[in-house]
Amino acid sequence: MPVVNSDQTIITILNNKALFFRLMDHALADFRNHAMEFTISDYESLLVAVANKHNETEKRRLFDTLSLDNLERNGLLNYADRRTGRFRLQDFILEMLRHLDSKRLRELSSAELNQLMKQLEECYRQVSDPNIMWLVGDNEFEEMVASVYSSLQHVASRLKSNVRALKGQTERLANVVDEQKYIDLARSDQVRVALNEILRIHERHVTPTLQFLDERLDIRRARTELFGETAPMALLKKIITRFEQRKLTDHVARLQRIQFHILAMGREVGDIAKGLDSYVKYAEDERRRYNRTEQLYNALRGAVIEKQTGLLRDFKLRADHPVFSVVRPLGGLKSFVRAQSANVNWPKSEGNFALNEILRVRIEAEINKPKPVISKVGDPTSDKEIAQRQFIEKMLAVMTDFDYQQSQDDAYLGVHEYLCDHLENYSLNHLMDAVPFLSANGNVELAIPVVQHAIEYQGMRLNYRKRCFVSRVAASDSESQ
Amino acid sequence: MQKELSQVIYRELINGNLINKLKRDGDHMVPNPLFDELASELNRPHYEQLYSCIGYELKQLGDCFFLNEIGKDDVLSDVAMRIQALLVVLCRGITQIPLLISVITDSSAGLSRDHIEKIAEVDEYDQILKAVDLKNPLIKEIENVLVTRKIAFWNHMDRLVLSDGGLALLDHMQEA
Repeated sequence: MPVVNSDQTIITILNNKALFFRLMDHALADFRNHAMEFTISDYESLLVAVANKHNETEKRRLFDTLSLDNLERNGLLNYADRRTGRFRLQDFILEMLRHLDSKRLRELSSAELNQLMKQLEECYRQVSDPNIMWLVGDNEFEEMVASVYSSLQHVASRLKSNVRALKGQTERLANVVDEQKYIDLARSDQVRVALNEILRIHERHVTPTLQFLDERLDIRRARTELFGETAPMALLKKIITRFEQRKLTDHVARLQRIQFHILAMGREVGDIAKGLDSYVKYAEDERRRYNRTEQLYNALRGAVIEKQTGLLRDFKLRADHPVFSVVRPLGGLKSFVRAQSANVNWPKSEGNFALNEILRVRIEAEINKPKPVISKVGDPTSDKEIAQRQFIEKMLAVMTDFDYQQSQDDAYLGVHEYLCDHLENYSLNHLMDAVPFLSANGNVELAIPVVQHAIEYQGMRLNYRKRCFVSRVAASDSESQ
Repeated sequence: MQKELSQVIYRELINGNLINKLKRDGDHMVPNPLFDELASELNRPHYEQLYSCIGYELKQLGDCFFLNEIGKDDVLSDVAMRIQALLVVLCRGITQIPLLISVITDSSAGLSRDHIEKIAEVDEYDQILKAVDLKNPLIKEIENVLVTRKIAFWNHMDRLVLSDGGLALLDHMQEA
């Protein structure tokens, strides 16, 4: 197999970056694959698919250049494990590929920023080492200076990538949110995912980067084996101060250039954070609403379940249940119009016309209403009635003369015999009209033992239980005795 | 005070409806003259006194007005209970579709009838609504309880959106 040199290989990688992007996407989809390993089978099948679009000569050249052997020969692979079928590209190749698509750049997490912090701490330890002689040309001093430059440039470079990544991601996500169409369900789902992603980037990347780059912020970090209680930018300033103290002005100037470059990125990240403010607020509001909705729903659901006892009654909630306290501001909101009463009709203009008409009609009706007449007892209207009234008057007169002082063993018989003698045209059916006169002047009591008697007179027969009449006089005598 | 507006305001409030700051006019939201009439600094004290004379308290929640009976501050009506149940079920249903809750607060968006039918299919929501005596289909209850009382409205795309009053109530429920 012909050997292709590093330049050509890297150029070919760049010309076929889409292939490597597919590999990276595939690796990212597996959340357990933090190592950014690719499978050899995936790579080879993608390579064949890309190569088939070319003619035979170019196809052969592509296979030779991008074969794993050639990549390994040119030191572009970290490792290739044919036993497990996996390989990994060198970091600088991966970073280069990510650089070509800012959406793919990885933001620095808190853990990675802490790594950078450790690098700065190590730098500071080195420049504070009392064993190093600060002599230009001294091996240890030159190595220390080279290490300081390398560390600071590395920090600056990582931060620069980080800022680029943040810009790319936030622009992409902001576009997704701005173009949201509620009608399109899939789009709304993308917006929801984008908002969550914006929140995550803000919390996990933007804010930690701002903290890292804030020279005024003195972050108390966990103490490491070296130093660890100073803000990163303050530490950077201390490193430069060491060189200032040794009057190494050239180094101071170069290191300050790196420092200003890093601090400028702080302003860029600040601008990104400001740009994300409205989206972050929107996303936080949505998240808060989501959480609160779940809370309210669970409370309501719990209240409903409590009431469910399997019966078809008593399962309804009442308005005074504590779960409804959140709508207390509405109070007694309801329709205040009674079902049976008419709505209030506001009168047109002065409204007197209607009132006058009502009054006119009612007053007339009142005036014309017939007055009620209170009548006395009516005069008798027939001879029979006249005869009846006359007979009653005669009986009244006759019974006035009855001897009420005398008690009677048989009250009915006594009255009957008296009326036979004293009342003209008396008949047996008049007897019961006369008996109440006895009750008014004494006591009429049922005789004991109860005896049935009968009176027959002028073809009429009265069956009765014997009653005795006790006069008032006799009754009072017996009481006094 | 404008007499014609006052009469319309009375009819709205006495029927237990809200008067919102904005109302729908085609595909726009425009200022509601009834709200402006009530909210005016000159008129507000007179309207408050007018309603207090007939036994009601004119209340404001966010950008809406409504009535309560005087002396019944501690009483929560069945209507209020049903409003809460409907809003909670709707919001929960929205998040499960899943959509953002702001779909029901943005007048240019709104929750479609299809989405509401989808929410209505969930048995658990049906049980909750029955427990507050809402037995009819969800859309009908939304119409009777929320739309009639101007807590929500159908926008120009025939989608359900919360009015100013509905939004104020939802915000209050979120923060309470």
